Amino acid sequence: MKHAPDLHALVGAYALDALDDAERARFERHLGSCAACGFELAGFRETAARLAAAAAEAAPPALKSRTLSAAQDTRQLPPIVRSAGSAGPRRAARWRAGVAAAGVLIAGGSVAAGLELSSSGGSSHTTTGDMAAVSAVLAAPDSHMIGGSVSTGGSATVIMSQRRGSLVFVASGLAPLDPSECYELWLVGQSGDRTAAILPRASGGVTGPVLATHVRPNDRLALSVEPARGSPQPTSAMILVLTL
Amino acid sequence: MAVPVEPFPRGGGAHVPPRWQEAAEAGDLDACLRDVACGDVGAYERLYDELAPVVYGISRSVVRDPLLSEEVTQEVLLEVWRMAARYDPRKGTVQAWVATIAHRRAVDRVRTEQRAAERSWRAAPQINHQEDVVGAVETRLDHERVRRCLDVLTDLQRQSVMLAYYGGHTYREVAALLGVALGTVNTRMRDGLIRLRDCMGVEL
Repeated sequence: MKHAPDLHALVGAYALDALDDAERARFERHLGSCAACGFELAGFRETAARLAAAAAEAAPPALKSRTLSAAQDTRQLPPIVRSAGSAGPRRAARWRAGVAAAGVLIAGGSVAAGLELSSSGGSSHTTTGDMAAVSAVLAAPDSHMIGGSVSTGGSATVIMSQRRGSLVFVASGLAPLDPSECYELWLVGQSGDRTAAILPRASGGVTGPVLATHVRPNDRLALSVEPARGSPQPTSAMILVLTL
Repeated sequence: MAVPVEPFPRGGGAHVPPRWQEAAEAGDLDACLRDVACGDVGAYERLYDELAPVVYGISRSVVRDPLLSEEVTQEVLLEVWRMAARYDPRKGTVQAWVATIAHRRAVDRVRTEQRAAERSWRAAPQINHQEDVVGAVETRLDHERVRRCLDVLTDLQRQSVMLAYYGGHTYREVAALLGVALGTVNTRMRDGLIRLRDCMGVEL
């Protein structure tokens, strides 16, 4: 944890393959637990792909037949198959990219499972309507990402669209709570604290995505631990405060 | 042996797939790659036509030697064939996936060669011609938008990004080339990429 800010600064160099082998390995270990890095890296990779495209050059013609015939002699790897029932339906590419990039690494299925829960009246916080709104925030041209560490453990990533006045919150590795408690998300503004959402229970270490709307300019986002059904006002210290 | 870095031959035949960056094409390549994953050789040929110039271009840029660049290009495109079923669209576009594999492979190749060369002390460290690397690439950049966006960067950001990406240098080498602190180079690379990303309108 001590090295985290240091490592995060390497995301640019990593995206450009400018780390040596040992640093690369160290950064990749960090990447597994840094939602913010994952999101930023995905954007940098798309950026680098355009740098690559700009330097495109016709390959020698003979290379084509050599490569095609070598392919015929090369066995292809099978897809990585997840356990039964975890494969979700395909969704719009950009949405998938956005959510995965946010470091959520939601196996296609965990969102689908959430949808099933909510449509059958379960306790999942995210509703089908929310999912459309979530993808709208992720796809908004002005959306940007903010990341932070939760003081009691775990990291949070927010994708914020000022234009839509909405944000999507995801977290990983939050400390498990007693059943009598929950995590509650707050919008902290000039007129005081407004409740934004009660976080659903984590699934596979990942909490969310959760949508918060009616975000006002200069609001900050905060997180606290509250009684299980939530509280109209925070009753404990904030464990995360993010400037949006 | 300070090898002067000449502008890459454009040879009249160099071209950028014109629709490479358009969203419509991302879907096409996606579909194409799914067919490739099922062993469709015709789809692989289409994918080759679309991607080979980019893979070869980045290999040439980093590796320089035409024969080694060809080797790297073939390895990368075979890797795409082999790994097609493992491509995960949630993690980014096909273009980014392939460019990532290509750049990584090209960089690993030059570093291996460099270590071998340094062991037998044949080659001088490839430094002191950073202006040439940057200049050579700038003259051959085909894409107006990329060129314009690179102009938005500060000199240090642009040099850091270009020496790393097109030159295949580590950030330590870049710091030595530019005579600035390691931390500064890291920051400039990240800031430079952020600016480029925003200027290019990369959406996630």
